[in-house]
Amino acid sequence: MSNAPPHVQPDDDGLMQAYAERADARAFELLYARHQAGLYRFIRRLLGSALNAQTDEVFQDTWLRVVNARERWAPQGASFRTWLYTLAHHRVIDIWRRSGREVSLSAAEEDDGGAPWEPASGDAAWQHWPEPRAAHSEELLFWRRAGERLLACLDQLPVLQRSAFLLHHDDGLALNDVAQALEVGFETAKTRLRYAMSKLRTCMGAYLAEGAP
Amino acid sequence: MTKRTDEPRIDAHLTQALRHAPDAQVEAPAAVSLHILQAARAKAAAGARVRRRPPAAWLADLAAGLWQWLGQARVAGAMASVMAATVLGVMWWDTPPEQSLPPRASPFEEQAATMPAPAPAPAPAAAPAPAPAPAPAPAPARSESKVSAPGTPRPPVPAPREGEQLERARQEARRQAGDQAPLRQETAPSDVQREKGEAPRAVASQDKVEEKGLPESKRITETAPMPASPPSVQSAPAGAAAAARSAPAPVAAPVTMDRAASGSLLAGALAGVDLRELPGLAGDVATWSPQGLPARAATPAFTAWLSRMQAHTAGHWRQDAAPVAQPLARWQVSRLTGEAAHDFQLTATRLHWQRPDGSRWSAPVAAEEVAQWLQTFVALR
Repeated sequence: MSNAPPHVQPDDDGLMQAYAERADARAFELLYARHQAGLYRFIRRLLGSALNAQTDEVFQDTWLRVVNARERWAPQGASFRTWLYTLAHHRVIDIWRRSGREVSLSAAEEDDGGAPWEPASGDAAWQHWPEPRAAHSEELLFWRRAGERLLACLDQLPVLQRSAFLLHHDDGLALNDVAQALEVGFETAKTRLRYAMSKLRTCMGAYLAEGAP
Repeated sequence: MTKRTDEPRIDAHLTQALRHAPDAQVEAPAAVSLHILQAARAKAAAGARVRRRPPAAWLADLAAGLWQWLGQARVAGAMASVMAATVLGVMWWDTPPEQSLPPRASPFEEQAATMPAPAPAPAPAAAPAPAPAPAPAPAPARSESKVSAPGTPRPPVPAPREGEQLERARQEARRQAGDQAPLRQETAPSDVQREKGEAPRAVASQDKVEEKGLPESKRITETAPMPASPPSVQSAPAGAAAAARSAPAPVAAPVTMDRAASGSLLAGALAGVDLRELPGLAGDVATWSPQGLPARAATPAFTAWLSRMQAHTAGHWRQDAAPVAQPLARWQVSRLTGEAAHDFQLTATRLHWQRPDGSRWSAPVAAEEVAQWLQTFVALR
């Protein structure tokens, strides 16, 4: 039996360093393969249904910024993934502003001190929902409809809260990384996330109340 | 990045709903992906062209091997020794040879000291320096302090360009002392050469060419103070030496003189001889011929042999008109200057030298040195 260690894939930062310092195109291809789907989905959901026609443009611009800014890449800074989502977030905010939409949040929602409004305490909002891990075949239709509903609820969120929620729940970034990607403090990111979750729970609970399984 | 404890829990229901959303499996269009990847490859290729090529593998291996070799204790020690020797050598090289050699009483110096001192020559007239020199240059001053005997006024050590001034001072001293003796014949050719500026250059170049082919230790030996300059005790009277002594210090730039040149000039000043004529016989030998054999070109080996003789006999030459009885070896040397040949005869105890002007000189030679010279002479023949 071979004692050779299993093949270890280089991490994102190592790949980006290889691309930046040694012009290793293969390293970039690996990075792209890892993150293209998640980034595309993030951009599309962040733009929302009204602007998702520009998803391709924002997605392409984001990756080309990575290509053009490779020499400024510093591995001791944010991780590559955080940096990638920061670039995408900037581009989406630009699109939002160009479209004349409101980007900034109200002072109340940016205030880290107060607790966000909650429709019900704890998990009460989901007491009539099936267990999320028990997605049996008969429940798939429910979750697909819940997904459609969630996208509609996301459209109602301010873009800054939306980005915090998507980064945390969809892309799996820790809240510290979310704060870094959004270039805000941890507490601000936390507040945005809590507001987003609260609003989404309310929105989704309304969906469930309307008629469901 | 690690999660903080106060981080809100992920809502599993919302996450599950996101996973089943209609756009959960959506990906970038192939055309967009292709465009991005092509742009990335193009940038990488451009960057690779601009980027300096990494050194070849063999070069890296060679450098690594050299580094390892240098890292060995023996090699590192040898390198350190060479560096230390180089530093010391450079420090020693910059000092006049008189400071680095043990003091030795030169026969010329003794002669000059015992000679009656003539009336001091008017220094300003003897040395028409463009400006009065209040003090000698630093380097010559060091030489003077080392060579001077206590209580004896010492001549300033001239810089290499002051030979003419010395000669003029000597002539002036002769004129004032009523000495009508003709000027030394040896100085005439050198003055002519000096004026033409041809032979000295040839000699200098010959020196350099021959030095390059010899190891450092030999080079030092060969450029040691010249022998030979038979002291012109008769042809250059003591007045000349005194005039040389009394000549004012020329306006000498603080030039660091070559060891050989400074040594020769110092001995020449003491003996009243213009030593610029004597760049060292070994330095400008054109041909040489053993007794009874045709002339041949002077090889580096012969030059080195002659240099060794010069070094051994330096400072011991005396005029010797006695005929040489049964020489062990005899040879003639012709110089690049085209003058008549110098005739050398080696006996069991002395080396005899008859110069082209007919003057005859000899210097004592140690027995073991004679044996080695003879051995080399036989090999060179």
